[in-house]
Amino acid sequence: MADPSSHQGKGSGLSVGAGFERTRGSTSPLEALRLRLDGYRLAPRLQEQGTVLALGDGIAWIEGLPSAAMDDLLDFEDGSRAMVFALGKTRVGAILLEETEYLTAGTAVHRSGRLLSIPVGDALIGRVLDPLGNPLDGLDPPVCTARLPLDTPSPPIIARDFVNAPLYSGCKIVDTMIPIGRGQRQLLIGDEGTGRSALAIDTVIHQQGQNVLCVYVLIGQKRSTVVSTLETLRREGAMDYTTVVVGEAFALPGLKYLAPMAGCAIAEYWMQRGRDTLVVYDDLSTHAYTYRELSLLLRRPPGREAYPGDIFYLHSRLLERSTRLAADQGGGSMTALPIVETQQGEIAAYITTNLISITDGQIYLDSRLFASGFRPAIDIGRSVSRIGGKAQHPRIKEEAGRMKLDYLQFLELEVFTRFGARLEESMARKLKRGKVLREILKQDRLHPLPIEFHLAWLIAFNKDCWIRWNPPR
Amino acid sequence: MKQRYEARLAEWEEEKKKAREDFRRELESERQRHLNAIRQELDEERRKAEVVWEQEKSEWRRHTEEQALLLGVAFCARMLSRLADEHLHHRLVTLFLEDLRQLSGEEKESLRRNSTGAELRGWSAYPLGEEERLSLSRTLESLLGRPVELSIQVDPDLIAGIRLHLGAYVIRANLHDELEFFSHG
Repeated sequence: MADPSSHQGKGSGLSVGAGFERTRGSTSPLEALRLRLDGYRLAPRLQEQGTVLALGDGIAWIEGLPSAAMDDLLDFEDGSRAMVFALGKTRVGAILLEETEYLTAGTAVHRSGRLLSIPVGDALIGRVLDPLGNPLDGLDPPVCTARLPLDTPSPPIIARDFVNAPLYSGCKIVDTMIPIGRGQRQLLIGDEGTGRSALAIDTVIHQQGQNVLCVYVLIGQKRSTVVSTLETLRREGAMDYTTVVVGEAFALPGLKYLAPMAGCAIAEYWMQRGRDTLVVYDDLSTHAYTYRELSLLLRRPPGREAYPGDIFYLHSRLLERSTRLAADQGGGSMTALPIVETQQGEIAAYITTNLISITDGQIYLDSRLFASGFRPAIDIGRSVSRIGGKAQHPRIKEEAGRMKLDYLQFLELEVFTRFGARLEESMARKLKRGKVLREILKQDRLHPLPIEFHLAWLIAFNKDCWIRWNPPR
Repeated sequence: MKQRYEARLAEWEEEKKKAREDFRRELESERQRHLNAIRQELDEERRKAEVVWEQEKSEWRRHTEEQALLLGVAFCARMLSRLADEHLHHRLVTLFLEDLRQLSGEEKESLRRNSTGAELRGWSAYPLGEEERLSLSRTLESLLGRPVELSIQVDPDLIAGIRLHLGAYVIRANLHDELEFFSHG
């Protein structure tokens, strides 16, 4: 392969450069132009050119382009676009982002000199987009004055502030016992059909009037699921402050892979402008499958469960971008609710444990609780919020302080009563209180409740106002 | 008894005064605490607003510069499409040939290595004359060190000049690509 630097000698008849340098986002366009014009001389311009060797399953193998770097955006002669994903000695592997019907082996490919970016701004509120920023809602493309790269480094530690403001989900269990703070990353974990997405949608709906902008990312979901999610958000008025990013099940795998990064970039823009944001990644298991599929197709060495070695880094670098910024950085926040699917309740699986260790806590939804009619089917014992307590309102914290422990003790106690053991009065009272609490904690879907309501029922419960009420058996 | 009562009253007055003083002090310290908290919050909000204002300004500046560049390119393209003629086109082709002949040995070697096959594709804004085509073929043959077959198509979008595909490279010497370079780098 040629070394393009060999063409850069002074006095050469050719000029090399167009398309070889990545455009730096921070340099102003005029400054960049001034730099380009400094050494300008009208001369033939030499640019690398690749040729498509093979196509299929959403990837392309390209011969040539010796200076291609990872994540470079490639322009094909027919108008298709791809992103460099694997570098070989003689060829480059790329994931297709846009594919025309004319794309075939032999098509010429050039480096665009740009990194993949997405339009960002308030024009995206209420819109449904693909990960490249193309509208999927049948409306005109959004007019934005800014673009952000999809993959950017997370804010450094000095740019961050403590998570100290609550983000209310409207769910009784979450807001009282597993609180979430603005800027926190809280994993929603559970088997299929246990209500993980429903809980996330409820949280988005509850942000109405809370001055939080939401981004809902649907990764590899069926079109029927996408439509149903959109309908729910529209019906509940949540699209007034929400953007939906969709990488559908039948979309190119490259788009499914990029969907969470696109959603994160959209929220990041608002966060940098001092806004509080909430991003739901629904779900990262499918994202991991897509990444594995792409990696295997591009012959990256497989590791555990055939995932590539950097699968942890893929999710950690995405979720590390969620934070609360310091005031001199704009002071906004990005709360992340990644969703992950378990099989048969197995939380020790590879991707699940990765995400548990990356996030600041998890809400575990249990299929047995769901089947028994306890909804939302949150397993309070296995759920935890590591930093949310710092952001909880002091009155709620005061009232709900011992509630989780008491409830867990009740659950243990309840197991013993199944054997018909006779209980002394204090134990029977504890049992009764636990049963009452269990009934109180039940909550219907799409009925998020305000925090004032939570405080009211907490006070009423702690004052034993319900003690005469007999919960249904 | 009266004396005791009056002493008690005085004592009580003293206690009240002291309590009032304590209350005033407590009130003052609480007020001060709240004022400090509000001041801190306001400072934070001010800093946030300043950062956001700066970001918005730089975003608009960037957007305006980009738009200005694109408008500049559109203007030049329109102007040149009227001004450009065969004369300018041939001048560009001549410059292209001159520059190709001046390539260093290392550059020639790299082009030779990475352009296999006899057929070379190219596009030209205007049809090339027989003499020009011959000159181009000869220059390329001497550059690549092997016989070549040129296949040149006419593409008026180039405005003036040519574009040539040489294996792993493409050589651009036309106004359209120069304007692209001006706007995007």
